Amino acid sequence: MIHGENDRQSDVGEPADLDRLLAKAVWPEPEPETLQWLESFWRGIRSGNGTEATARADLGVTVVDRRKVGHNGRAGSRLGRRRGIVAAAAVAVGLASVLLVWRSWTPVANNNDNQGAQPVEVTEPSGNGPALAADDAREPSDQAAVATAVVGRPATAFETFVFLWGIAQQQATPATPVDPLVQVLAQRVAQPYGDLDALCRPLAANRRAHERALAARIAQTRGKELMAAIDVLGRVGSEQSVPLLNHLSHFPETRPVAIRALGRLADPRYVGRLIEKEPEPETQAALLASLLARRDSGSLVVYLKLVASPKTGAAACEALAREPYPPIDELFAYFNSPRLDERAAAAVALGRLDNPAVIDRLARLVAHDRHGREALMALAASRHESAARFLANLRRDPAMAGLVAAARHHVESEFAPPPARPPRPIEDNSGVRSEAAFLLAWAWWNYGTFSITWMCASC
Amino acid sequence: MRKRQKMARSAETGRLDDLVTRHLGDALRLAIRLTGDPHWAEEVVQEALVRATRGWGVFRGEAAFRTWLFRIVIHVFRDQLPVRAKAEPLDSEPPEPRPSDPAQQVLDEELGRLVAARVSALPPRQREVLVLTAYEGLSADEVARVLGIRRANVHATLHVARQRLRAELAPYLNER
Repeated sequence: MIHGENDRQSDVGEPADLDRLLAKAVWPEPEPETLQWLESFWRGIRSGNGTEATARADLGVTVVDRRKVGHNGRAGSRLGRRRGIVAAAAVAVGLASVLLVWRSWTPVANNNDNQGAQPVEVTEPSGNGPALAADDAREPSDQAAVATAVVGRPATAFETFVFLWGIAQQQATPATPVDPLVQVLAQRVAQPYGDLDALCRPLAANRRAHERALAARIAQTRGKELMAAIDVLGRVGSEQSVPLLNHLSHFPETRPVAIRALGRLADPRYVGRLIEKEPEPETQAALLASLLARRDSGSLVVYLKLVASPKTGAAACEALAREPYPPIDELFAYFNSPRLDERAAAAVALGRLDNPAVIDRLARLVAHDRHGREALMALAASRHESAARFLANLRRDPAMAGLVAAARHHVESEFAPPPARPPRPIEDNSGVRSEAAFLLAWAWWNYGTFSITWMCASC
Repeated sequence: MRKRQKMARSAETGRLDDLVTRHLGDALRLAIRLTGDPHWAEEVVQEALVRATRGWGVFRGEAAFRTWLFRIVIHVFRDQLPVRAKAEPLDSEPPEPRPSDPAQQVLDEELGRLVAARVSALPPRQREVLVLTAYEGLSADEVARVLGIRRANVHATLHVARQRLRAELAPYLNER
């Protein structure tokens, strides 16, 4: 241990005491799970290093590319510089030789006696160079004449050859198809809240290549295009994009989009941690939705842990209630789990759905005495009127009253209370009410009409 | 020639993998001590791993790999500190020291956690110096190399850190 020079002059306690106290400090030990996760993260970086390094280069982070730099970071770059010089020299020599050949092929008459040369009679071209080149219906002799017109003097054989060769090349080259990735990104920029799944369908064929292209594009773009690229990467990418997205999540402007993309691609346990740490409710809800959308057992286990956590329980139940197709059957399957915490969390999640069909199913479970405890917990967690009525009926039976109280106590003591929102009505009665009013009015009208008619008839 | 280069590269990659796997636990432990929060520590190590991949090309082997990795961890910690510093202040005042009772072990654990929290709440530079010297067992020279400061600075910072801790943990020191 190193001491400061004046330690011994202190008047409060001896340094040895402080050392003893400092030696007692206990930090949480790294969990084996975390170490395993970091090792797998490390393997992920190693396999996707090229992509990530390229992507980070333009994000303002210094990147050392080991393919270009030698072990000591200098020799390789020197070699690269030398190669560049040699290449530049070769190109310069090539250009010079082409120029020489060009000059030597020019007709002697044109060089020596320009006054004596008669201008060639040519038809004046109707447009510029590219328009001429596109005109593929001309005879070769005509084309030679046009070449002469373009040059502004009698064309040499070499010039005519180059001209004809250019036209042939242009005709042979098929029209370049538009990259589907570019199309998808353009559409996403135009409609940032459109259906991304449908939008990304054309990219399903070659995901890996698109993932690499997106990583490179993310490094080069800014603003809306960058957001669109991250969004699309979240749908098209794989686990290899996780380090890049993780990096992007540290920048305030890209954080919400990157976090959402991470929710789809990262390991469910990692997503669970992100949800726990996320301060923004909207982003947290989006992460929860992406976790629920996966529907695999790993994600549901993480989801159940979040339900059981007092910090995230309410948000997790809210996310399930907002889900258009909640994984109800999968959650019912967790009633068979050997772990009590998972069974209880599944019960509470199902109960807080406040769905009449689910409550009916839970009541049937209680009636058939199958998973009765979990079903009672779910019913106790529910705020639906029919669940409350069912439990009230059960409480009249002395044998069941204790079980109901125990289930309620378990839910209230172990799980976060639901957020304050009005309970969902059982059914919308407004339509019924308006129908009844209409019938009443109609009856009064008929009665009035009938009485007036009768009175007139009697008069 | 290319084959030999390829082989050399794959051997280097394998060596890096070995080194990282061997020292990953140490790096995570250091990050936990610096941050006082396992989740944040995990993020720090993740970012440090990314930087280690990029920096491996310029690692000259002059320092031990562990020291080099520690330096990266500390740099990442410093980079993330401004964002985190706003969010999580130390949650509680130190509890009153209790007289010894049969549950001494439990109290010791509580005290240990308290001391750890106090160390992790020191100003960043003092925390780095104290953790590296007292808990990671690095010498003054090594600490100076890791943090890029002079040896005398290491001593001075350590002294300030200890003074501060002594003031904060005074009730526990006087008790003895």
